[in-house]
Amino acid sequence: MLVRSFRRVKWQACLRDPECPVSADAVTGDLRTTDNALSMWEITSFTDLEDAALAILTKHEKPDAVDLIALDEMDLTGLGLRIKATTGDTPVPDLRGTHRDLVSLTYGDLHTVASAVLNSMRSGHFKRIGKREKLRMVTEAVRTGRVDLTALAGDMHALVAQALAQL
Amino acid sequence: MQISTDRPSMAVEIDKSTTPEPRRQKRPSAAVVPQSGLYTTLPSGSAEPGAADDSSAFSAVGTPEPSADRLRALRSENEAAFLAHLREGEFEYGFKSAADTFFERFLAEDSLVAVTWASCIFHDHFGEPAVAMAIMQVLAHLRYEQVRPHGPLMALAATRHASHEVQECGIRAFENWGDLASLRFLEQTAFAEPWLQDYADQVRTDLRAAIAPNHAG
Repeated sequence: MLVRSFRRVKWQACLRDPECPVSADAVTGDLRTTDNALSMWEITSFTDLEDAALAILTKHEKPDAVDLIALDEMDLTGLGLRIKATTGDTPVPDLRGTHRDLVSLTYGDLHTVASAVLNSMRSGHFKRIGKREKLRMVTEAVRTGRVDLTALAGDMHALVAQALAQL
Repeated sequence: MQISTDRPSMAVEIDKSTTPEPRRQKRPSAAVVPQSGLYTTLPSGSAEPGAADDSSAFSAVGTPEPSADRLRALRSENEAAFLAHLREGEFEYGFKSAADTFFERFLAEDSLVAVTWASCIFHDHFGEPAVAMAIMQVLAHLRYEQVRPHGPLMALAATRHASHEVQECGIRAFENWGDLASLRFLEQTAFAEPWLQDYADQVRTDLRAAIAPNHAG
């Protein structure tokens, strides 16, 4: 599966009504591409979501809750989308090799990806990581040496340092 | 599954999902800046400076009422630029926005006046969900002590907004502030939208566990 962050609230209305058009905000905000590529993190199954979450959350500056969506890789490639392995930009060294890009995306491909997002939501393959869980996950990763505290940025650095001091 | 690896293998990619795009310099919009009255859309009898601070439940604030003159000057000189950040800036959960940075300067000068200003904008633009959301996201990145009493009351109002996105911003703000008062506010709110109710329930559970372990469960 391929994981990225998204904003559930932008997509939620379409879950109940299949005829509901996906909003432009959802596509331009959550499927924002660079060089026609969309950044994802690969996991073996949805139960491994925490790995992808850690790769993403350790880049955050703020403890805001975040929504993650896991898309089915086979579905994406079956629809003609290309996936390329690239080195990920994350403070978690052992996860850098799990980064994937959906590449050479076109306007039409974004419609395909948007449909995949809705399919994954209908399958329950999404999760909100709240502030408390986010801090727990990142703090544990630092405590076990998986992430260097100095690699964290902004408020997350201070909050995790505070949490570590209280252990 | 086919994974193409024809790109140079060690090329470091920027993670678009976690790294915000460089903030573009936004051109301030032609916002109308109220020149008189702090709460320009209130009936005239309610527009007295300091009216928004009449919250006896928060009498522990212990700071003087914001200067009406300073607040008017702040709005007159900076509101168009702030609104431009709120309307046109990029907001990505987990990251500091340009609006955050813009507001910090005023917060450092006088936090009560700055937060009162934020509440004025929220009040005047409650019918503009993008602005209401943006201002809540800015306040959600501050500490509860910095934003009370206006911040939690704004968050409470946000939870009553017709827009689910604004409602969610209200819950998110309480989650970020993460203190006992936030828990008490959330305990008195209910949501018609099931997934928002689930989110509020989760935040309540988290706050109880973090703040009041004796009430957890």
